[in-house]
Amino acid sequence: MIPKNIRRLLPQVQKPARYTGGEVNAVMKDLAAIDVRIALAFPDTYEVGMSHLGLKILYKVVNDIPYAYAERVFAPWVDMGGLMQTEGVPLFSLETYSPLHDFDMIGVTLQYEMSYTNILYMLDLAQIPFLTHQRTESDPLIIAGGPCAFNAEPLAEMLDAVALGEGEEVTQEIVSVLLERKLQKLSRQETLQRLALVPGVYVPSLYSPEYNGDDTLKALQSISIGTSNVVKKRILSKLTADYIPTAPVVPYTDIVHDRIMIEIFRGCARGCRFCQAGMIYRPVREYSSQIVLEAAEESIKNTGYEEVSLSSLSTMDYSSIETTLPMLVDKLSCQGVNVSLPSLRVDSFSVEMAAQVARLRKSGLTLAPEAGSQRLRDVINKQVSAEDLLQALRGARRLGFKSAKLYFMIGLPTETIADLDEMVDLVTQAAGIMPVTVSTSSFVPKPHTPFQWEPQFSMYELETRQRYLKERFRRDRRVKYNYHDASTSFLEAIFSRGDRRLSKVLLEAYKRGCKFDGWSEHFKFKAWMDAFAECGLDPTFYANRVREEDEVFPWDHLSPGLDKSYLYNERAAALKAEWTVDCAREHCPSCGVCPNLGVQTFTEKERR
Amino acid sequence: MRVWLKFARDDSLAFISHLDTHKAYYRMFRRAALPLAYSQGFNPHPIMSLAAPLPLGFMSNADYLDLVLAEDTPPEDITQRLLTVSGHENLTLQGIRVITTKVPALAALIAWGEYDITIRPGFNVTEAIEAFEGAREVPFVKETKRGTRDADAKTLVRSIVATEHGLRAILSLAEPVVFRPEELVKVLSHFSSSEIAIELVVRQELYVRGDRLDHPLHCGL
Repeated sequence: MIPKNIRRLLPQVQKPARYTGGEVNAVMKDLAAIDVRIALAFPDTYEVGMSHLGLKILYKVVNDIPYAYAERVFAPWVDMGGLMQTEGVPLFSLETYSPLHDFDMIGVTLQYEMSYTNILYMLDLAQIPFLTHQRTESDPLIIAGGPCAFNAEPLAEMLDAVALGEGEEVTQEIVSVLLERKLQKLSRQETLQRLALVPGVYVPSLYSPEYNGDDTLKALQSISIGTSNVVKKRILSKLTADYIPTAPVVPYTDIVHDRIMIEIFRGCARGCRFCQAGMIYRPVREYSSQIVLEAAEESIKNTGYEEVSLSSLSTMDYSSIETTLPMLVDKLSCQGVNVSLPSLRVDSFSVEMAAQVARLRKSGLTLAPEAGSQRLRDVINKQVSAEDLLQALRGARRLGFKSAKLYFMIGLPTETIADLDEMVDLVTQAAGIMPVTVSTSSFVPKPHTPFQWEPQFSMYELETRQRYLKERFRRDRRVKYNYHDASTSFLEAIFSRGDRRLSKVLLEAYKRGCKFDGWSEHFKFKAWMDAFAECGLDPTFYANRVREEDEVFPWDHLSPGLDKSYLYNERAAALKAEWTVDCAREHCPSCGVCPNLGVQTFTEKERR
Repeated sequence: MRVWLKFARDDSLAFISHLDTHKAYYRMFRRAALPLAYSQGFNPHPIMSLAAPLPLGFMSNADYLDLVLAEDTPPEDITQRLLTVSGHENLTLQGIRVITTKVPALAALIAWGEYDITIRPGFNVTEAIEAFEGAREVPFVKETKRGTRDADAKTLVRSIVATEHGLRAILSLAEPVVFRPEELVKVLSHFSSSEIAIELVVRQELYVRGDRLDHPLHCGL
């Protein structure tokens, strides 16, 4: 039963089903038999968090351990958050409605820089101190993971520990340290020391920064004996069926991706130079098609879902997609289940494969050429030509698609107005085939990519380019043009490559009312800029500065296995507009990941 | 083959819309691998309907579904499959009845709903109920999206008794005037010294049209 103090709030808020729990496949355990309690906290709404595959995986991994119990908690929408504060109801988990304070650990995922203030919001609602050094023995440990963990420095003062890379194994090891803590009555500090010895775990408070006179980082050194100066990510060397969440929680209310997600591979070796996911999730490892088919069937049986989507960084690159996709569609269509594909490569092969999937025809076609000119596509190593795009669209028209969405970035390194003009030409040609919606986002340089040394264009410059494109597309009625807000991209650029001095800014921004920054209706740019001023930090230092080749970065010690020299050479190749090949298909360009992590690329085709 | 099914749902399903409730039942039937019948057409949907939508926030021990199956399936078999999947769920099968296709849609037959209404501690409804029972006529203005309509609350209440935590009442669910538990409590407030606040409403039963109070699985249809 939902406790009365919570139940009373529900009729007063939007979408109360976000807070009621009790969904199908939610795991219920007897708390008396549990030694380690973990709250998996997703710092965004229920609908966003429940759509996240990583949460489903970790929920299964922890709940498969008999003595441990993972529960879920999401950021309450502002109406509910406000009521909880005025009524004194602390943030609670959805399985047992326990206050977060009762847990041994709060696991937070760092998916997106603009959700950082929501972590503070959730801690605030949970009545847990914001900063690590303020927390006492009775407070839960706050441990983060996810892609942004590869530069967790802006949250260094808030996070007790950070897990790098794939979470399946390291989470189990963290759980056993928490069990040791309970059995041996370890203090908080002793527990953190032990966690720091787990491979892939970073404890920010055990490292101390030193800065140069120009505000760049001089060094970030371990100050604890036995703790490594570089923390390497964890990775599964082979993908088996062991951790696939085939009985995920089925929500009662609509969520963003309300379907089964079946992962088909991890990593992507295409080597697009702007793409952080392509760099930090290496190398490519595929699930066997047999595992994929079995997991899909089992998941449908356990959930009753009517749709399965194949998930990966680039679904069409699955080496046996040509045989697996038709088998899957055949098997599922007789059960009334649709298959959907989230990402399509820009070529006619992809479009033909996609045509087998009836669902897609309704949803329309989305392609991402990323850059408008051939020169710029060479710079970012997106090996797609204008002809590839036009052929894909012609094929799509034959197959019955009526319109397409095209995604581009603006503000890529070396971009000039000539590149934008070429984008306009390309879009005009595309619009001759079918009506198109063009969306541009502003490029955000990310850590652990070849562009980590590059400045982001100034907000003024980005907005000028948005206006230019708007003007150029205005007269063409076959083209609809959208663009992302440049000020949001500016903040992303600051926090993606920030250092631990930004912890202060985050706290200050939260105090000024910033939360749900990823939701445009809640984004308060002025409050952010005021927070920077208050802390005496210059945001352009982080976003708009060219870094020196040998600059020490705040994320150098958080390693996805890439050699920094590889990234720098890739940057040099980019500036010369030279391509680099894909190691899953051609030879190895020596990024360093396989030797550094002791793993290798593994595809289904090779196995045969 | 057509069946009527009765379910109880607990409070984790109390705050979802009618549409989402429908989806929850649909997915449950799919997990139970019932041979659902689908409508013809470009966008086939299962032939099932949920009688008497439950207002947001209410619990229910009496959800009735009118369901068509594509194959004849013994009722014991349907029960077995539903109990297997619903063992750990918040929708629990209470009963099943095979029904001929000639009988009108279940939703059109429902006339009364019975509710357990828990009142917030500190309120007393006994006196208000007595006063309501004693009155010859209790004017009530029903507000709907289409406008207002004058009615006599006495004709909309089939029975009303005080309970330990509040009251239990059988209220009209049929046109022209549907009488909701909140509306009843508001009317009762007129007979009380202060506004009465509801803690919880649980729908206990639905009854079909006719002189006798019969629930759908027992009525003479």
